[in-house]
Amino acid sequence: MEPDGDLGLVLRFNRTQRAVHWLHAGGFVLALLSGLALLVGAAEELIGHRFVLRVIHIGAGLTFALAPLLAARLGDWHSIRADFRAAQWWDAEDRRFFAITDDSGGSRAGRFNAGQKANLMFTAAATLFFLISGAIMWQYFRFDRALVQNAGMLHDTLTFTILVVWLGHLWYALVNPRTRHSMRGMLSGYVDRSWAASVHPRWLGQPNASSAAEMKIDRAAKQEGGL
Amino acid sequence: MTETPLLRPIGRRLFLGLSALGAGSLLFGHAVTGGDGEPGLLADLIGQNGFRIYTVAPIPTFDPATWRLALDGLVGRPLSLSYADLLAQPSVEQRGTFHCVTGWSVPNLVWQGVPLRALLDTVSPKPDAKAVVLYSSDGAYTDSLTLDQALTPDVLLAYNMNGQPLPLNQGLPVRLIVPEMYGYKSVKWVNRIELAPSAIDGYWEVRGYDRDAYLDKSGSRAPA
Ligand code: HEM
Repeated sequence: MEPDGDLGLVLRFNRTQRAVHWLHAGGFVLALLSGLALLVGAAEELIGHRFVLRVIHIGAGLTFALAPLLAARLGDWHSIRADFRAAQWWDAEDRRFFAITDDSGGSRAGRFNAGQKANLMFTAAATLFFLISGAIMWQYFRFDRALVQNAGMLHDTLTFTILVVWLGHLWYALVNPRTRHSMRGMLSGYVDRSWAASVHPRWLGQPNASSAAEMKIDRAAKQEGGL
Repeated sequence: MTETPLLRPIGRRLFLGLSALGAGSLLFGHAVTGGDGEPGLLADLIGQNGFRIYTVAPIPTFDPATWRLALDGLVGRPLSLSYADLLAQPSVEQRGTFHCVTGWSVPNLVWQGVPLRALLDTVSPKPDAKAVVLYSSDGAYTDSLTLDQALTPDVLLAYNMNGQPLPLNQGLPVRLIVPEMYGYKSVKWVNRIELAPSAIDGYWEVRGYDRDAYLDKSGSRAPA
């Protein structure tokens, strides 16, 4: 048991987790800017060099989608897998998180709250389909026109959707007073124990969160029969 | 933590559900938007008349008094037309859909201009001329067609779109229109047409695009 109110620091994101996050984020911002320049006629008329933009964009997109995977493979793969598992499996508190009728002052989050879990799952799916639709647009001459057209529309739709989700993400990471301390965890790796105790109370109770999560998943998988 | 909470794969279902949406839109999106596609979300905000404006170099200026269109290379009689000369040629109007390789399309366009075939006839290509190379006055963009492709009746040097002169960023004063091919063959700001012994790789083809730009991958010509 970890005593609450201890002012020490606690490790939240190890080096692999931070590398995965920042490679993904860096690739994202560059892909977003170059993608918008490709999309918005007025911007491109100013810049002019569509070919250069396209090369930058494809490079940034591949960084966004694949560099985090590579970093995870080369680093502590286990910790990344544990976080993805945690985001897939929701307990009763997580299910309560999005309930509008909840008047008990919110759910008690573990390492991630349900909003973070939903964000991770959305982002994983969006990344996969940015990659698929982008590859079709890149290699358009190998595919039917209908597929190329669908890929273009999906790529655009993903751009607008992820932009909204990203603005929300930035708000929690940079602005919202209760959660913005977490930015420190993503920069240095460490957060204040007292902050963790109040925002992620059920995380501190699990000194080795990943193995505890896996034990529970095994049990849940047996109860539910997989999906 | 008194009891072990029961875990449900809600996050996983979210991922799988979103993936099903993505895969569904890739496979069946065109059934919803119609075969001609649509300009895409926010078309008017990001583009113009449903087009997205793509350029590879700064947009060239146009002065009707000094502008010339040259037809040269392997020809019997080279030709140089002023803007007034071009407008004085017999013209045709044709309706079509414009398709870009990045997935957007603009349906129901009315193009007016001079069939490329008519101009090629007047310069009498030499027997060893097998291709047509088009140059843009932006100084960077080029593309080519085989002579057979260039002689297709609906290949047009268009100067009006929907009854108006082309906007500057869409090729003023004249652009090529090749209805059966993706838009990158439809060179904007054309100011020189050269007859050549063989097709060359144009601007995008050097950079990885396919020289064959037929919309229909069988390469066969749809009836015009
Ligand atoms: C994951 C890997 C990605 C790949 C391989 C990829 C690839 C591409 C390609 C090939 C194009 C077409 C450019 C052209 O042919 O001129 C494109 C356009 C675009 N991409 Fe991406 N992309 C990726 C990720 C992203 C991301 C993360 C964003 C935004 C956050 C994004 C936003 C856009 C936008 C706005 C366009 C312009 C569409 C247009 O001009 O019609 N892409 N992308």
